[in-house]
Amino acid sequence: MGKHLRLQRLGSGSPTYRSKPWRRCGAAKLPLEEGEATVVDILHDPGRGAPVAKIRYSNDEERLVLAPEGIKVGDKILAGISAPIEPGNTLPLSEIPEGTLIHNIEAQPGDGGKFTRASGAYSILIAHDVGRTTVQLPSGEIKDLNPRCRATIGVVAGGGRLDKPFMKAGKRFHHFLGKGKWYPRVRGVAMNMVDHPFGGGRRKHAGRPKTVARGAPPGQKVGLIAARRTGKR
Amino acid sequence: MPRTKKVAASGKFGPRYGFTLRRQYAEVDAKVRQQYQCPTCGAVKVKRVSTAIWECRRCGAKFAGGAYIPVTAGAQPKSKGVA
Repeated sequence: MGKHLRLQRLGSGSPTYRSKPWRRCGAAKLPLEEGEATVVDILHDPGRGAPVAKIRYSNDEERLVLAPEGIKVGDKILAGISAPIEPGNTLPLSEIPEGTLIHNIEAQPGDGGKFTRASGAYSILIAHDVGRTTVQLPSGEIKDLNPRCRATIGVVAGGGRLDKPFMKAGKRFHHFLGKGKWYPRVRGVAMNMVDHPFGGGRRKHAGRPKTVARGAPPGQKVGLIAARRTGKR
Repeated sequence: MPRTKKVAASGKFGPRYGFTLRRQYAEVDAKVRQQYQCPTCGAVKVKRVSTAIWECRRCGAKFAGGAYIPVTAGAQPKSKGVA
């Protein structure tokens, strides 16, 4: 009789393996389509490397946005077609000049921002074309997006976050605790026979093909799930 | 303190974690604890509140910057006009 695998315990949704949303500030989305808002505070968001800015509109509505580097409490941020090209302002991609550094870019118009949200990240707007705008994402990938997708000007705050080494395993543990990820993560081949399909044996080896089918039942579904190809690339 | 001239803030780690990591840590830690010039009032009173959040102890200006230094090289150093 084997034991429940880690991935089966993860899936049951117990508090141990869940993220801690009650500690967080909330979802940081793009500002409203049109209008002027004031930055009332800049907050640290547990589980996120970048700070978030709390903005308030004239009708006292408050929202959270990703804080671009250089934004101050009391600054005015604008959104809309006629907003000037300054850090913190949000415009459709069609209105942003080529070569501008942008962040929090929408994948589909109106989704509130999907790309380039990590601390210190920025994308570069490369070219405008009829019906599509070309953007270079932080990974280097070049992507065509709908020109009606919106983005914020500037670089996300919190750059250089990885310059400081973790030093201790306990530091990394708390880092992952905020994100709801399990650390340290023991490899299957390092486990015993009862704990994992790859466990046991006289030396550390999987002992069976690592590829499993997409429809494999839980308990068997470990390794390279529904792999299209394996081996070195 | 000649004893900690070289290791600085990494002295707390003793001989652990390797020299390279200890040196990297000490370099970043010195930048974090340093006071910087305020972009609003010009006083050298800006201290780090939290990751990427910096505050001036004189005029109270609070702004978002780099994780360990107030202004990173990669971001455009141009700040937003107050007017």
